Amino acid sequence: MDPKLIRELQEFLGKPSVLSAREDLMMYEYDGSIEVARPDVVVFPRTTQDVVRIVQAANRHQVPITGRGAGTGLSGGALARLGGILMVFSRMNKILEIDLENQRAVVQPGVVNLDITRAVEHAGYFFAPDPSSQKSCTIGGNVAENAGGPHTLLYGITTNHVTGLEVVLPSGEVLRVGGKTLDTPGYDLTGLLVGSEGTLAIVTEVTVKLTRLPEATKTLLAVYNSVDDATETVAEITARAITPAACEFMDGWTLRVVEAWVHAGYPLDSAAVLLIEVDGLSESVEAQAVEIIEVCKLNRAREVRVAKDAKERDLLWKGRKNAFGAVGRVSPSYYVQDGVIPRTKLPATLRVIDVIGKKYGFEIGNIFHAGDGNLHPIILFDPRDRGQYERAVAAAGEIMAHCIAVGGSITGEHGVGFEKSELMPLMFTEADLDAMRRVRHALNPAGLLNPGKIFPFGKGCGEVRVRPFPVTSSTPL
Amino acid sequence: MSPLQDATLAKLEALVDAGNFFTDAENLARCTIDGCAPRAAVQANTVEQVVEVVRFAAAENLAVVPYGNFQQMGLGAPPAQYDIALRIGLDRVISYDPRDLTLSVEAGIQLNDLNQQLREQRQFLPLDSHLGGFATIGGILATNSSGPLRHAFGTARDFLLGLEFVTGEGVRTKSGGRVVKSVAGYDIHKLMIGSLGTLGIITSANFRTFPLPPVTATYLARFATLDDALAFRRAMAASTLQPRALDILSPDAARLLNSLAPAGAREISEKEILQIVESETQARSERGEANSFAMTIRTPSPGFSEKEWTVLVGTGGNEQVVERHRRELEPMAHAARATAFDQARPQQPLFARISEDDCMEWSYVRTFSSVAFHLKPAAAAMKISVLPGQFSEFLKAAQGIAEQHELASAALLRAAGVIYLALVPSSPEEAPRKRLAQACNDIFAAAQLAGGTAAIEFCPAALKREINVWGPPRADLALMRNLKNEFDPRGILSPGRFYGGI
Repeated sequence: MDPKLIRELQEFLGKPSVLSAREDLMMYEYDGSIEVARPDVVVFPRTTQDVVRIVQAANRHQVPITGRGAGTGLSGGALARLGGILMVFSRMNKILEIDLENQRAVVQPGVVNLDITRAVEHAGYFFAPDPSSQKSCTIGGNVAENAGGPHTLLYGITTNHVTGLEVVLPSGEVLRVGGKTLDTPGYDLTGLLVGSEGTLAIVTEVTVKLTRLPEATKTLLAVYNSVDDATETVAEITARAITPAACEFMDGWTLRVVEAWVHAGYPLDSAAVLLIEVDGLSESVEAQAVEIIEVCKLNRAREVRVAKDAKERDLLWKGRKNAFGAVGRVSPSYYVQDGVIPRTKLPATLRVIDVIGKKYGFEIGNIFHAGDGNLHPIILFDPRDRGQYERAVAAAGEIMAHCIAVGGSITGEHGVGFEKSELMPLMFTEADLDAMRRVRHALNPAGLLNPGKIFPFGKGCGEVRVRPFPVTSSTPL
Repeated sequence: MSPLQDATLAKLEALVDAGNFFTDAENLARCTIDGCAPRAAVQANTVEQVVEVVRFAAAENLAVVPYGNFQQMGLGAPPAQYDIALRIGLDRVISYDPRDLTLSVEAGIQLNDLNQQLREQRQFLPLDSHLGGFATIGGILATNSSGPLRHAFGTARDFLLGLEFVTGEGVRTKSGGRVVKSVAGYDIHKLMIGSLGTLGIITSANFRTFPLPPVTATYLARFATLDDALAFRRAMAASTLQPRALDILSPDAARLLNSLAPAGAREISEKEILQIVESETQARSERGEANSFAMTIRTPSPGFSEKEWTVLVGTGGNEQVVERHRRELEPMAHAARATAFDQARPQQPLFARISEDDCMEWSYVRTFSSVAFHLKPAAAAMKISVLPGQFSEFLKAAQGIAEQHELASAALLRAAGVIYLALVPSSPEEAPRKRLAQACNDIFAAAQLAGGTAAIEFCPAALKREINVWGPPRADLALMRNLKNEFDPRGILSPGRFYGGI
């Protein structure tokens, strides 16, 4: 990196807002995925104007820029794959406006997801998208990845709750798209930018919808002696067109790992549990709960517990939301997948994952948003063992190929990043990818924004390749 | 002026199925947009035919305007060039997995036909169009048409999972997926929604479907003033009630909708309708004609109050949920000084079979914009995006603007944040039209002042020459132009019809 650029950045941001020492940069070479990439310099803008000046400096020196929130992403989206500037939004963390009458909030990208809800729940509102990392992940990251979460089954994902953005374009121009209002004339740029993984523009302000808190909530824990019975339950709940607010699956292995840490009260001897929540008007919550319990029993649930109070409910959710942290206690490294399948294919797909795990010699844990058909198989491996790493990646590739074969998607909420960029040809033809490249060219012609993401590196052959190793030289752990 | 020579036409004819190529005056007149007729009209019945027609047009520099069922041809600015009207005849259900609540359909299928199939599984697609169910899926998506149900279900962008489309270079392309959740790649399908055929031609779409509520009921509350009606809206928003639809009708809008039913029209029972159908069927079979025919039935007048503001509240769910709404809405309405609170009469069974609306009132209200323009062809029907908190202030400003320019006005307010406003001049003469143009410009400014946007949905072609129907362009136009150039580099897809002259 040109020391002149670092000096320039220091001049207008101040020295404490620019990190370039090796030991500092190492803090920013990871996110929640298994990828690693070290930036050349890390900057902390405080204002949109800071962002503009950073972008202008990057343009002058022709270096890449990658945005980053809390670094909780699961696809390498917030890693500087090709080095350059990593722009961390932790100091742009103000809630700028809360407009309860119109159910909107305007926030800076560094605001933590849960803090929006915390700011409005006293008045009976919440911000609906709830990634499991919501206590630390930021809204800017949610927008970039179009994040989901357990309750998006009923309430929709991030894109359904964002009405407007302020962005800085790669040229340094500040632009507002959408707004607090709906149906802005012209192309839906807000809809395009949400989920574009920081490759089209840098988000500096987000206008979100606030949702009315439901008056009643009921949380059920259905306990099973077989994985099949649990997945059949989910398929049947969907087929009956019951839409719970959330419907989460956890297999026996995962729940034992979680229980050992969180003590949520999960039954240790079960093969699988479903954590199901219904909310809304009390009349509909009661009726739905009755029907769901009936479906669980029909599918041989050993037991269906109903959380007695908010405390019990919070404990059940604490287990679910901290599951990945719990897994981290038992394995040096793990690889989380994000494939989506039609809900009718859940039982068969879980059997396939089991077979793939055995074939490659891995324990694969399953904890996922079952109601959406959004799988999160967790492959445990030791990254110091090159052979294991390669087998983990190969096993993941097979799982993904199966998801696509049954009509699914390679990612439901984590994003493509560079973790899944080589898998894109599984879902999209060269013509589809070309259309996406044209979109990128229309907004980010020089390609300096978050390069190396979404698109496969090897262009044109359309065949499935094993994902390459991280391009930086550092070795995990 | 005409770039179409006979030899060129012959080549175009060869690209589609026999009998799907038209150059006769009657067929071209049906495709006329604001007085511009195409040189030829063709119907494509496969994606390959769409691809071929677009490639041909690109090579010959001919402008193509896609359409579905002629429902919304008047939207947007007049085309800058218009050579080929391309009807999307693809109308199959590609796949429907009711147990997964997902659906993939071709773009030319009519919403009514589709919902009829979904209804067998007690499901539906809340792709509410202001035209009712005669619009095609592709047409509804390309115009981002929405209706009362957006209150609970949002608009197409909220439940469209993926799209297939043909670009301006004739490349078959898709984005999104078929499952209920996918974030792989850019959401190009969101760009296509409302793009009015300027970025690509939609050939198929994937959606999530929704369960039909077991019970629905609609309540009508009447108020002496807009502010009372809005107080009722505020009380509902502050409660935990979950209405499916929430619209507010001005007294003038009520008068317009009431007048759609001709004076002296009598109510006709379902039995009588079936008798007419039977005798007509018999007569046709005696004459040796085909047994399928279309019949227009005018529903009776909705009988909206023409002196008061009417709030329509749609509810749905199990019986207890619907009953709970009734129980709580009535006192809530009276607390906001309602002068009346009634349950709407359920739709006659005959209509219930072809309409998702549970009462006749919705069928009228959803058509407000197009009805206003149909009844008052000199009028401008505008769509204004403002938030409910600004409704009162904005509407008062709008009424002031109308009065200042000697125009009548009528409004439908959709609580999600949209106002449909009809501005009606006293006559179609030039002087009133000038005043109408000025009023529209004032409304654009007032919408901007209220933090929103506005566009003209329907107005006389003459007015479109004087005013930009999409309102003054904003700073976001440059990016949109870049996107247009990437997808349609030759500018042959619906040129000039969209925002900022795209």
